[in-house]
Amino acid sequence: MHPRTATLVAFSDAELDSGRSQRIARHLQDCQECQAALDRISKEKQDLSAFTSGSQRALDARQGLAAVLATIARWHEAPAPELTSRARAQIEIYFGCGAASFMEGPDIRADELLAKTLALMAAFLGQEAAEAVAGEILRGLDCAALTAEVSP
Amino acid sequence: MTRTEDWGGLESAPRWIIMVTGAYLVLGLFALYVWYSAAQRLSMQTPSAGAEGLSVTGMAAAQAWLCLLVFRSFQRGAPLRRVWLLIMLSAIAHVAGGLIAQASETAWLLNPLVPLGSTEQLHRTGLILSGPVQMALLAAGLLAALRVLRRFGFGVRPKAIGWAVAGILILFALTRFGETAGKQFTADSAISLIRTLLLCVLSVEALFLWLSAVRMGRGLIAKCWRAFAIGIFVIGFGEAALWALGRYFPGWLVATLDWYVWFPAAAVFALAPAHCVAAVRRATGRVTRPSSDLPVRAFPRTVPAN
Repeated sequence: MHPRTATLVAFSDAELDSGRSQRIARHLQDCQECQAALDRISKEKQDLSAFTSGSQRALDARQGLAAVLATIARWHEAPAPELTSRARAQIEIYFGCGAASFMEGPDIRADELLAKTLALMAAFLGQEAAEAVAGEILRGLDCAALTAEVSP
Repeated sequence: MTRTEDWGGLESAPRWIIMVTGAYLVLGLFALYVWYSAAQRLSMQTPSAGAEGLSVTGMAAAQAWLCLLVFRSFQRGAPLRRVWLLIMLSAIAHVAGGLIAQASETAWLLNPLVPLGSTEQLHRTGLILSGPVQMALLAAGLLAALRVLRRFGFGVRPKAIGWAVAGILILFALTRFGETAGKQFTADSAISLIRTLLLCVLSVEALFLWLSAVRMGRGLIAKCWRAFAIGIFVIGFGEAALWALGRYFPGWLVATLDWYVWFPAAAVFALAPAHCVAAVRRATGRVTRPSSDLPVRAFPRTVPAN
């Protein structure tokens, strides 16, 4: 049985206990499909890391001014998509993919999704858990940029 | 985000319940096999129902404790606080009824319940508490839960196949109802009739809960509500199967198999709050800064009031 994507992400982050890590490592030795999935996860993490840190190494000098400007523009847009992504991840953990798809409409703003997520958490797990999840979602994000971004 | 597998904490309560239930069922099946094989050659009595009943009561006690933990995680006025209170009371009624029924069956001189009244009356009180009272409280709790689920957009409309599944259980319940009603009306038959009617209500609720949980996905909260639906289906289909078996097999065999319905059902009911406790622990166990510092204040318009 293949490990789930979430488990592979946790494995890649070295967040699993030693026994489970060894089991997955053994599985990865024999399973090309999971190796490919792990490679993909690692690559996405690297891309994301380079993107969110604004590292100059992520920029190819040959891309020219237009590419640099586009990257800067994307960087400015980053907090809201990141917030959406984190809120969605929390809904998936506690409720499931169906709930995440159902809540995340095409035009929903990041702050609206956050509010919906916290309302759900407060209703189904209590206020303390909702506040903890809010902390988890917002950890490390530039809240000033977020506030400016979502303000009408 | 740092998380490790922790078998010691409440976060792993669902896995412990599944492990204990699995081991207990395997042991029970092995004992049944040995007993049934030995009975071919030796004169043996049917096993005592006391130990079996106590294991179900023990699981109901675990459910009550886990429900208390979930209940305490909600503030006053929270919609699910009342739901968990009702479910907790249903588990407590199950425990109290189970204990009273078991104790009243014990022909022991020092039994503290004997001076309180006739053991027959006490036994009946136990059956009422662990039967109709428990089911009524559970039905009320699940109805309130369905309202909350609907309010948050998880309302569902069952399709024909869903209604067919619930219909089978209702048909069985009505058949039993007809059987019992046709006989001489006694206190025990009244308890059975009420139980049967409540099973119909619970079956319909289980259908809605199941579909709502399926709509959510496979998260911890979805698993919690799905577990209640599974528990009700186990009781409904298990009782129907036992009723059908009772027509073809001797009563003692069916009575022995009764435990294999009630124990898994009690375990699944305990699993439901265990998933919720795991979810709460998972959320609150990762707090890294005081809630007063949360930048969620940046969104005063959108943060919902509880």
